[in-house]
Amino acid sequence: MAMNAPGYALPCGRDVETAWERLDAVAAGLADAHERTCPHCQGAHASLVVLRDATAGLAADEEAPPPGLTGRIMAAVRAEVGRREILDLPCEEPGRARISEQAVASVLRFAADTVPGVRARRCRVTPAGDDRQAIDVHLTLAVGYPAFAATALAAVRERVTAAAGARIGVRLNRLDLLVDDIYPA
Amino acid sequence: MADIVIREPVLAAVAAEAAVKVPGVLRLQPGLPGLVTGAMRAARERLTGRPLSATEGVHVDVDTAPDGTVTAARLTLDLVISAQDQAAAVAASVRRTVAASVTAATGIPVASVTVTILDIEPAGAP
Repeated sequence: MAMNAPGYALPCGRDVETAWERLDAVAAGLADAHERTCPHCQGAHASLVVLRDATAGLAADEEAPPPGLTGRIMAAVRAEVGRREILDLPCEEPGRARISEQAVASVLRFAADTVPGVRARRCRVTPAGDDRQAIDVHLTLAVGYPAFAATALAAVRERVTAAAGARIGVRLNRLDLLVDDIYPA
Repeated sequence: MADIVIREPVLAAVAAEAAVKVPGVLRLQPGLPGLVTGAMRAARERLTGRPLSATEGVHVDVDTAPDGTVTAARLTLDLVISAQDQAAAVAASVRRTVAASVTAATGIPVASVTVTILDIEPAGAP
């Protein structure tokens, strides 16, 4: 098979390998008598020069990472984490609407943080038993001492319940608040 | 009678386009495999010089009749939404909009749309 032959011969008897090796010599004006007159060798040289220029262009092309690459990767990694724990949202039509626990927790934590003197820490969200449209929430808090007022916990309960309905669209079945730290305030 | 074949990437692209236009939707969120698909799409765009439609974050399953025609499509979308809107309302709106757009553009009935909200971001954050 010609394809497997060590060199690909031109009709004039020279092979393409030789033509490739002699590209620089020919470009420098050192072509031998055959190369000056043979139309096959000249044709081969012309197309090899084009090939060499194109490959040099590709090799020199410095590929910079596209802007925002790190951000996109981190978003995908975060999404991969969020994909593990998924809750159902109320939904009438065929198919399902779902939301990651991580997304719900971030909204509820933010709601608790709006109460003065309270900082939300961990937030665990789980489906409430058989009721697919209600959630149980376990929220860990740190409170500012001595500025903390006992009424703040009632405010946290109110705001987290409101956020679950208004921001997510699920009913809060049970909200456990655990104050496990204080910070100077 | 000529055959009309609409392939799954077309359905996915129509669905993706419709979903990101719904108010409250910040973007479709590909997983790690989707990131690879996206990188390959960008490479193909560079090589061919033609823009390709984004379909990351959308998965399409189709039911086909014995003669090969598509009888129904089931779509799955992964989204990131803004904290300004109610998640359940955005999800319902995405499901309606996507089903209507896909059927309007391709004539293929949509059997179901499953929307998963993977993250909620404060609006205006990058």
